[in-house]
Amino acid sequence: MQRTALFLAIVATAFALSCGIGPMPDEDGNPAAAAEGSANQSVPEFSLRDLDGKTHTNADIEGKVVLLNFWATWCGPCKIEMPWFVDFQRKYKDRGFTVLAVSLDEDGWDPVREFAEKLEFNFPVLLGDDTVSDAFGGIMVLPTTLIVNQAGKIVFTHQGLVAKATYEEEIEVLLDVNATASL
Amino acid sequence: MPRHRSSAALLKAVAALFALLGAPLSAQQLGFSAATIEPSPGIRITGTGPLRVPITVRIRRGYHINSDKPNDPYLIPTSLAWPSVPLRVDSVVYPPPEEVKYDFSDKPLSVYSSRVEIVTTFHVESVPADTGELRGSFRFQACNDKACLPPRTLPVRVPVRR
Repeated sequence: MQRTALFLAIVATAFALSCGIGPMPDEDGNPAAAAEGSANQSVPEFSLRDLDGKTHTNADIEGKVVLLNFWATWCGPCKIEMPWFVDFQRKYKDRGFTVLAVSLDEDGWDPVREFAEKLEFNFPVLLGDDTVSDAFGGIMVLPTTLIVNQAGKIVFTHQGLVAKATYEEEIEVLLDVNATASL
Repeated sequence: MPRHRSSAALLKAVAALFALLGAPLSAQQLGFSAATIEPSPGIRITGTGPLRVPITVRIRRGYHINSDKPNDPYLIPTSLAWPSVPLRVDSVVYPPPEEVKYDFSDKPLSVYSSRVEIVTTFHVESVPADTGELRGSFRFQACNDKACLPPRTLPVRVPVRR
Protein backbone atom coordinates (compact mmCIF):
# COMPACT_ATOMS: atom_id res chain seq x y z
CA MET A 1 0.00 0.00 0.00
CA GLN A 2 2.78 2.38 0.99
CA ARG A 3 4.70 1.51 -2.17
CA THR A 4 1.64 2.19 -4.30
CA ALA A 5 1.08 5.52 -2.61
CA LEU A 6 4.73 6.43 -3.04
CA PHE A 7 4.56 5.51 -6.71
CA LEU A 8 1.44 7.67 -7.14
CA ALA A 9 3.17 10.54 -5.39
CA ILE A 10 6.14 10.31 -7.76
CA VAL A 11 3.85 10.15 -10.80
CA ALA A 12 1.84 13.12 -9.56
CA THR A 13 4.95 15.16 -8.87
CA ALA A 14 6.39 14.43 -12.31
CA PHE A 15 3.06 15.35 -13.87
CA ALA A 16 2.78 18.55 -11.89
CA LEU A 17 6.33 19.61 -12.70
CA SER A 18 5.73 19.08 -16.40
CA CYS A 19 2.77 21.45 -16.38
CA GLY A 20 2.81 25.15 -17.10
CA ILE A 21 0.37 27.86 -16.21
CA GLY A 22 -1.62 27.60 -19.42
CA PRO A 23 -5.22 26.43 -19.35
CA MET A 24 -6.73 23.14 -20.29
CA PRO A 25 -9.71 23.68 -22.58
CA ASP A 26 -12.93 22.16 -21.30
CA GLU A 27 -14.59 19.21 -23.00
CA ASP A 28 -15.90 21.52 -25.71
CA GLY A 29 -12.41 22.85 -26.19
CA ASN A 30 -13.35 26.20 -24.73
CA PRO A 31 -10.18 27.68 -23.23
CA ALA A 32 -11.95 30.61 -21.64
CA ALA A 33 -14.08 28.27 -19.57
CA ALA A 34 -10.97 27.09 -17.75
CA ALA A 35 -9.69 30.58 -17.46
CA GLU A 36 -9.48 31.56 -13.83
CA GLY A 37 -6.87 30.63 -11.34
CA SER A 38 -4.30 31.70 -8.86
CA ALA A 39 -1.00 29.94 -9.20
CA ASN A 40 1.30 31.85 -6.81
CA GLN A 41 4.27 30.98 -8.97
CA SER A 42 7.12 33.41 -9.47
CA VAL A 43 7.25 35.39 -12.69
CA PRO A 44 9.74 33.56 -14.93
CA GLU A 45 12.95 35.35 -15.92
CA PHE A 46 12.32 37.66 -18.85
CA SER A 47 14.20 40.28 -20.81
CA LEU A 48 12.17 42.02 -23.50
CA ARG A 49 12.44 45.26 -25.44
CA ASP A 50 9.68 47.81 -25.59
CA LEU A 51 8.58 50.03 -28.46
CA ASP A 52 11.31 52.53 -27.63
CA GLY A 53 14.05 49.90 -27.54
CA LYS A 54 14.34 49.89 -23.75
CA THR A 55 14.91 46.47 -22.20
CA HIS A 56 12.57 45.36 -19.42
CA THR A 57 13.50 42.59 -17.00
CA ASN A 58 12.24 41.16 -13.71
CA ALA A 59 14.27 43.82 -11.90
CA ASP A 60 12.01 46.52 -13.36
CA ILE A 61 8.92 45.10 -11.71
CA GLU A 62 10.40 44.37 -8.29
CA GLY A 63 8.25 45.82 -5.54
CA LYS A 64 5.40 46.66 -7.92
CA VAL A 65 1.97 45.27 -8.52
CA VAL A 66 1.98 44.33 -12.20
CA LEU A 67 -0.76 43.54 -14.65
CA LEU A 68 1.12 41.42 -17.17
CA ASN A 69 -0.97 41.01 -20.27
CA PHE A 70 -0.29 38.77 -23.27
CA TRP A 71 -2.12 39.97 -26.36
CA ALA A 72 -1.93 40.33 -30.13
CA THR A 73 -3.28 42.78 -32.68
CA TRP A 74 -5.33 39.98 -34.27
CA CYS A 75 -7.07 39.18 -30.97
CA GLY A 76 -10.49 40.81 -30.83
CA PRO A 77 -11.20 40.24 -27.12
CA CYS A 78 -7.77 41.74 -26.29
CA LYS A 79 -8.87 45.03 -27.86
CA ILE A 80 -11.72 45.36 -25.39
CA GLU A 81 -9.33 45.22 -22.45
CA MET A 82 -6.73 47.68 -23.70
CA PRO A 83 -8.62 50.88 -22.84
CA TRP A 84 -9.17 49.45 -19.34
CA PHE A 85 -5.43 48.97 -18.96
CA VAL A 86 -4.85 52.56 -20.05
CA ASP A 87 -7.24 53.59 -17.23
CA PHE A 88 -5.49 51.37 -14.68
CA GLN A 89 -2.09 52.77 -15.60
CA ARG A 90 -3.35 56.31 -15.18
CA LYS A 91 -5.18 55.54 -11.93
CA TYR A 92 -2.64 53.33 -10.10
CA LYS A 93 0.75 54.22 -11.53
CA ASP A 94 1.68 56.44 -8.59
CA ARG A 95 0.80 53.69 -6.10
CA GLY A 96 3.48 51.26 -7.33
CA PHE A 97 1.59 49.68 -10.18
CA THR A 98 2.31 49.12 -13.83
CA VAL A 99 0.82 47.39 -16.82
CA LEU A 100 3.20 45.40 -19.03
CA ALA A 101 1.66 44.35 -22.33
CA VAL A 102 3.51 41.59 -24.17
CA SER A 103 2.47 41.26 -27.79
CA LEU A 104 2.74 37.82 -29.35
CA ASP A 105 2.34 39.15 -32.91
CA GLU A 106 4.46 37.14 -35.30
CA ASP A 107 4.85 40.01 -37.74
CA GLY A 108 7.06 42.08 -35.49
CA TRP A 109 6.79 45.67 -34.42
CA ASP A 110 4.94 47.28 -37.35
CA PRO A 111 1.36 46.24 -36.53
CA VAL A 112 2.03 46.53 -32.79
CA ARG A 113 3.43 50.06 -33.02
CA GLU A 114 0.52 51.22 -35.16
CA PHE A 115 -1.97 49.65 -32.79
CA ALA A 116 -0.31 51.05 -29.65
CA GLU A 117 -0.28 54.56 -31.11
CA LYS A 118 -3.90 54.29 -32.19
CA LEU A 119 -5.06 53.27 -28.72
CA GLU A 120 -2.66 55.68 -26.99
CA PHE A 121 -1.04 53.09 -24.72
CA ASN A 122 0.49 54.75 -21.66
CA PHE A 123 2.35 51.63 -20.48
CA PRO A 124 5.30 49.62 -21.81
CA VAL A 125 4.50 47.43 -24.79
CA LEU A 126 6.92 44.53 -25.22
CA LEU A 127 7.33 42.11 -28.08
CA GLY A 128 7.28 38.44 -27.10
CA ASP A 129 7.81 35.23 -28.99
CA ASP A 130 7.54 31.47 -28.53
CA THR A 131 10.44 31.47 -26.08
CA VAL A 132 8.64 33.93 -23.83
CA SER A 133 5.41 32.03 -24.22
CA ASP A 134 7.14 28.79 -23.25
CA ALA A 135 8.81 30.44 -20.25
CA PHE A 136 5.35 31.33 -18.98
CA GLY A 137 4.17 27.76 -19.42
CA GLY A 138 2.85 28.04 -22.97
CA ILE A 139 0.55 31.00 -23.59
CA MET A 140 -2.00 29.41 -25.88
CA VAL A 141 -4.98 31.65 -25.21
CA LEU A 142 -5.17 35.38 -25.73
CA PRO A 143 -5.74 37.48 -23.81
CA THR A 144 -3.86 35.92 -20.89
CA THR A 145 -3.43 38.28 -17.98
CA LEU A 146 -1.39 37.70 -14.85
CA ILE A 147 -1.68 39.88 -11.78
CA VAL A 148 1.65 39.89 -9.99
CA ASN A 149 2.29 41.05 -6.43
CA GLN A 150 5.18 43.09 -5.07
CA ALA A 151 7.14 39.91 -4.34
CA GLY A 152 7.04 38.87 -8.00
CA LYS A 153 4.47 36.12 -7.42
CA ILE A 154 1.68 35.52 -9.89
CA VAL A 155 -1.36 35.87 -7.66
CA PHE A 156 -4.17 35.81 -10.22
CA THR A 157 -4.31 34.32 -13.72
CA HIS A 158 -7.01 35.07 -16.26
CA GLN A 159 -7.41 33.57 -19.68
CA GLY A 160 -9.91 35.12 -21.99
CA LEU A 161 -11.91 38.26 -21.52
CA VAL A 162 -12.98 39.00 -17.94
CA ALA A 163 -14.74 41.93 -16.34
CA LYS A 164 -12.88 45.19 -15.82
CA ALA A 165 -14.10 45.20 -12.20
CA THR A 166 -12.40 41.86 -11.56
CA TYR A 167 -9.01 43.25 -12.50
CA GLU A 168 -9.67 46.39 -10.54
CA GLU A 169 -10.56 44.48 -7.37
CA GLU A 170 -7.46 42.33 -7.62
CA ILE A 171 -5.16 45.31 -8.19
CA GLU A 172 -6.72 47.18 -5.28
CA VAL A 173 -6.32 44.18 -2.97
CA LEU A 174 -2.63 43.84 -3.78
CA LEU A 175 -1.95 47.55 -3.53
CA ASP A 176 -3.77 47.68 -0.20
CA VAL A 177 -1.67 44.81 1.16
CA ASN A 178 1.44 46.82 0.41
CA ALA A 179 -0.01 49.99 1.91
CA THR A 180 -0.99 48.15 5.11
CA ALA A 181 2.42 46.53 5.39
CA SER A 182 4.20 49.87 5.14
CA LEU A 183 2.19 51.49 7.94
CA MET B 1 -4.40 0.72 10.96
CA PRO B 2 -1.93 3.60 11.41
CA ARG B 3 -0.26 2.38 8.25
CA HIS B 4 -3.56 2.71 6.35
CA ARG B 5 -4.03 6.14 7.81
CA SER B 6 -0.62 7.33 6.62
CA SER B 7 -1.27 5.90 3.15
CA ALA B 8 -4.59 7.68 2.99
CA ALA B 9 -2.91 10.91 4.00
CA LEU B 10 -0.33 10.44 1.29
CA LEU B 11 -3.04 9.77 -1.28
CA LYS B 12 -4.82 12.93 -0.16
CA ALA B 13 -1.59 14.86 -0.62
CA VAL B 14 -1.20 13.39 -4.11
CA ALA B 15 -4.77 14.38 -4.96
CA ALA B 16 -4.15 17.90 -3.67
CA LEU B 17 -0.98 18.14 -5.74
CA PHE B 18 -2.93 17.13 -8.83
CA ALA B 19 -5.61 19.67 -8.03
CA LEU B 20 -3.15 22.51 -7.44
CA LEU B 21 -0.68 21.92 -10.20
CA GLY B 22 -2.04 19.28 -12.50
CA ALA B 23 -5.03 21.10 -13.97
CA PRO B 24 -3.29 23.84 -15.91
CA LEU B 25 -1.99 21.63 -18.68
CA SER B 26 -1.54 23.90 -21.66
CA ALA B 27 -3.46 23.63 -24.90
CA GLN B 28 -0.13 23.42 -26.70
CA GLN B 29 0.79 20.35 -24.72
CA LEU B 30 -2.53 18.82 -25.65
CA GLY B 31 -2.14 19.74 -29.33
CA PHE B 32 -5.51 21.44 -29.19
CA SER B 33 -6.82 22.77 -32.49
CA ALA B 34 -10.08 24.64 -33.02
CA ALA B 35 -10.17 23.45 -36.64
CA THR B 36 -9.32 20.15 -38.26
CA ILE B 37 -9.05 18.95 -41.84
CA GLU B 38 -11.23 16.00 -42.74
CA PRO B 39 -9.18 13.22 -44.27
CA SER B 40 -9.56 13.37 -48.03
CA PRO B 41 -10.84 10.25 -49.78
CA GLY B 42 -8.37 11.11 -52.53
CA ILE B 43 -8.70 11.93 -56.18
CA ARG B 44 -8.39 9.96 -59.36
CA ILE B 45 -6.57 11.53 -62.29
CA THR B 46 -7.82 9.96 -65.46
CA GLY B 47 -7.08 12.63 -67.99
CA THR B 48 -5.82 16.12 -68.63
CA GLY B 49 -7.75 19.31 -67.93
CA PRO B 50 -9.33 20.85 -64.82
CA LEU B 51 -9.33 18.82 -61.62
CA ARG B 52 -11.60 19.87 -58.76
CA VAL B 53 -10.33 19.06 -55.26
CA PRO B 54 -12.56 19.92 -52.27
CA ILE B 55 -11.08 20.19 -48.79
CA THR B 56 -13.39 20.08 -45.79
CA VAL B 57 -12.56 21.92 -42.59
CA ARG B 58 -14.40 21.25 -39.33
CA ILE B 59 -14.47 24.05 -36.79
CA ARG B 60 -15.15 23.24 -33.17
CA ARG B 61 -18.40 24.32 -31.61
CA GLY B 62 -18.18 27.78 -30.08
CA TYR B 63 -15.27 28.84 -32.27
CA HIS B 64 -14.99 30.77 -35.49
CA ILE B 65 -12.10 31.35 -37.85
CA ASN B 66 -11.63 34.43 -40.00
CA SER B 67 -12.76 34.17 -43.58
CA ASP B 68 -10.28 34.48 -46.45
CA LYS B 69 -11.12 38.20 -46.55
CA PRO B 70 -11.58 39.45 -42.98
CA ASN B 71 -12.96 42.96 -42.76
CA ASP B 72 -10.37 44.12 -40.24
CA PRO B 73 -6.78 44.58 -41.43
CA TYR B 74 -5.37 43.22 -38.17
CA LEU B 75 -7.13 39.87 -38.51
CA ILE B 76 -5.40 36.85 -40.02
CA PRO B 77 -7.16 35.49 -43.11
CA THR B 78 -7.85 31.81 -43.63
CA SER B 79 -5.78 30.45 -46.49
CA LEU B 80 -5.24 27.21 -48.32
CA ALA B 81 -1.94 27.01 -50.20
CA TRP B 82 -0.35 24.39 -52.41
CA PRO B 83 3.28 25.48 -52.45
CA SER B 84 4.90 22.46 -54.09
CA VAL B 85 2.38 20.41 -56.05
CA PRO B 86 3.29 19.17 -59.52
CA LEU B 87 -0.01 20.53 -60.88
CA ARG B 88 -0.89 24.09 -61.82
CA VAL B 89 -3.30 25.75 -59.37
CA ASP B 90 -6.03 27.49 -61.35
CA SER B 91 -8.13 28.70 -58.45
CA VAL B 92 -8.85 28.31 -54.74
CA VAL B 93 -12.48 29.13 -54.02
CA TYR B 94 -13.57 29.83 -50.46
CA PRO B 95 -17.22 29.63 -49.43
CA PRO B 96 -19.23 32.79 -48.69
CA PRO B 97 -18.47 33.92 -45.13
CA GLU B 98 -20.92 34.61 -42.33
CA GLU B 99 -21.11 38.16 -41.01
CA VAL B 100 -21.30 37.84 -37.24
CA LYS B 101 -21.30 40.55 -34.59
CA TYR B 102 -19.44 39.58 -31.42
CA ASP B 103 -19.41 41.41 -28.10
CA PHE B 104 -15.74 42.23 -28.58
CA SER B 105 -16.12 43.77 -32.03
CA ASP B 106 -17.64 47.08 -33.06
CA LYS B 107 -18.81 45.73 -36.38
CA PRO B 108 -19.73 42.29 -37.74
CA LEU B 109 -16.76 40.09 -38.56
CA SER B 110 -16.38 37.98 -41.68
CA VAL B 111 -15.98 34.45 -40.36
CA TYR B 112 -16.46 30.75 -40.90
CA SER B 113 -17.83 28.31 -38.35
CA SER B 114 -18.92 24.68 -38.12
CA ARG B 115 -18.00 23.21 -41.53
CA VAL B 116 -16.29 24.82 -44.49
CA GLU B 117 -15.50 23.42 -47.90
CA ILE B 118 -12.71 25.03 -49.89
CA VAL B 119 -12.40 23.99 -53.49
CA THR B 120 -9.13 24.06 -55.41
CA THR B 121 -9.14 23.63 -59.15
CA PHE B 122 -5.88 22.27 -60.53
CA HIS B 123 -4.99 21.99 -64.18
CA VAL B 124 -3.67 18.60 -65.20
CA GLU B 125 -1.38 18.87 -68.21
CA SER B 126 -0.31 15.25 -68.23
CA VAL B 127 -1.51 12.24 -66.31
CA PRO B 128 1.11 11.37 -63.67
CA ALA B 129 2.79 8.01 -64.05
CA ASP B 130 2.73 7.27 -60.32
CA THR B 131 0.31 7.56 -57.49
CA GLY B 132 1.18 9.89 -54.66
CA GLU B 133 -0.38 12.76 -52.81
CA LEU B 134 -0.94 16.47 -53.13
CA ARG B 135 0.42 18.37 -50.15
CA GLY B 136 -0.91 21.70 -49.09
CA SER B 137 -1.16 23.84 -46.00
CA PHE B 138 -4.16 25.35 -44.30
CA ARG B 139 -3.61 28.44 -42.16
CA PHE B 140 -6.23 29.86 -39.84
CA GLN B 141 -6.70 31.76 -36.62
CA ALA B 142 -9.57 30.89 -34.30
CA CYS B 143 -11.42 32.71 -31.56
CA ASN B 144 -14.50 32.22 -29.49
CA ASP B 145 -16.45 35.10 -27.95
CA LYS B 146 -14.00 35.49 -25.07
CA ALA B 147 -10.56 34.43 -26.26
CA CYS B 148 -8.39 33.71 -29.27
CA LEU B 149 -5.92 31.00 -30.12
CA PRO B 150 -2.68 31.73 -31.99
CA PRO B 151 -2.62 31.27 -35.76
CA ARG B 152 -2.00 27.72 -36.80
CA THR B 153 -1.04 25.88 -39.98
CA LEU B 154 -2.28 22.36 -40.61
CA PRO B 155 -0.96 20.01 -43.29
CA VAL B 156 -3.37 19.03 -46.05
CA ARG B 157 -2.87 15.72 -47.83
CA VAL B 158 -4.86 14.44 -50.77
CA PRO B 159 -4.02 10.95 -52.02
CA VAL B 160 -3.77 10.73 -55.81
CA ARG B 161 -4.78 7.58 -57.66
CA ARG B 162 -4.62 6.81 -61.34
